Formats: sequence, structure tokens, C-alpha cells
Amino acid sequence: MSFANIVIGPIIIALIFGFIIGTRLHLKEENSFKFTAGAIVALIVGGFIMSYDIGQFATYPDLPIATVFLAAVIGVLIGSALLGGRAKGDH
Amino acid sequence: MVEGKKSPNWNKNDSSPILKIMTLPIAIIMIALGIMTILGGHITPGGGFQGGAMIAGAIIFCVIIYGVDGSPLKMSHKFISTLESVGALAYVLLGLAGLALTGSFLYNVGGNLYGLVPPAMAAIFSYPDVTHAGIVPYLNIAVGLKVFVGLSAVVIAFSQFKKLAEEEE
Repeated sequence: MSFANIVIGPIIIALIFGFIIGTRLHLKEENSFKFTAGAIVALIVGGFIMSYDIGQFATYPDLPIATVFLAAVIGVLIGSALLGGRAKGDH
Repeated sequence: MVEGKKSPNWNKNDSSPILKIMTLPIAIIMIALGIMTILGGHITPGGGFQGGAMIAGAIIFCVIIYGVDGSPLKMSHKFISTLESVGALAYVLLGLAGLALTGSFLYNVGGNLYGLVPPAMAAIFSYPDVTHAGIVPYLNIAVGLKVFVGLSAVVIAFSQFKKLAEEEE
């Protein structure tokens, strides 16, 4: 159980997958969901706690946290921050 | 529609403030859990369909609470068609790779259990984790993409029917 054994492949794929979905997440819209910077920090802290409770996949000998879950949360937030403002739906 | 029956109006944004504040963080967590389900499909219960349905569930959740126009998760027609095409093409191309290299459609080129593929070619299709599952996780990702956008598109289309009917009246 160490950083040396970390399985990097699924983490990268989760980041990319999360990024793709995050590009459609438009947070700056003047709307009622009040998703401020504090909410993002709370989400990341909550994501850490959740990933510890979920635990790592079986057979992955690296960390006791669900790295793929955490990477997906971070990917969604990065995608939203970089490209989410341009997201426009057809509906 | 039968007179007197009420159907939910997804084009109005009249949910309670508690729902409006809580839905988006929960939707993001649902998306992350869906991605985790897709990427763990070869070693844990779940897979492409289940994970894709979870991600679509997050989008449906936002559409129901914020309304179709106010949803923070905006899915354009181009985005939906692109992901659907990428998912389908990836699945077919992975199958054709097996057909071209071994004569069997969807042969696990990365796993290479029967040793039909040169090791250098198997290394290209190998999934970078400790299980060496070959192309199975890639198939899960392709199916996950297709299911996620497919189910989302169905719900977005259904949510528009009332709006269209109102415009026609």
C-alpha cells in the first residue's frame, strides 16, 4: 500500500471521462443552484471522505481510497472550470 | 391529454430551494460514481451499461429539479451525436481488431489468452492496470458512453414534448 504501486491508467481515463462530462456543466449561469467556490471546496472534501469510505477496487494494491472516484470528481470540476462556461444546450 | 389530469411541467423552475441547492453536488457525485462503475466493470459488479445509466440518472435528476432550460448540465445535439458515434465506433473497431488479427470478432486482443496475437500487438490493446483485462474495460467505456448519452437524449426528448405541444396551441 504505497504511492509507488499506484495504478495510473484508470485514474487518467477517469479524469478524461470526467472532463468530457464536465465540459457540459455550466456553473456560471445566473440560476438558483448557488454553486460557489465554497461549495466546490466542500465537494472536494466530501469526495475525499466518500472515496475513503468506498475504498479501492479489489486487486489494486495502491491506496486505501477510491482513486478513480476522486479523479472523476476532479475531472468534472476541471472540465467545468475550463470549458463549462461555453456549454450551450439545444433544449 | 385527459382533462383534469396533471403532468409534471419540466419547463418550469419551481422546485424548493433545498432541492435546488443539493441537487447539483449530488449529481456530480452520481457522475463520479457512474465513471467508477464503468471503469471497475471488469473486476467489480457493474460495467458500461450500469455506469452509463448512473451518469444519465444524474442528468435526469438535474432536468427534473432545475427544469429543462435551467439545468446546469447542458447537452447539445452535437455533443450527444458525437459521443454516441464515438462509443459505437470504438466498440466496432475493437471487435474488428480481433477479427483482423485472429479471425474472431471481439477477440480479446489485449488479454490474448490463446496467444494468437504477437505480444507487441497485445501490449497496444492492454489495459493499464494490475488485472491485464485487455479490451474488456475499453468495451465498457464505449458502452458507457453510448448508454449515458442515449438515456439522456431520451429523457431530454420526452421533456420537450409538452413544450412543443404548448407552442403548437
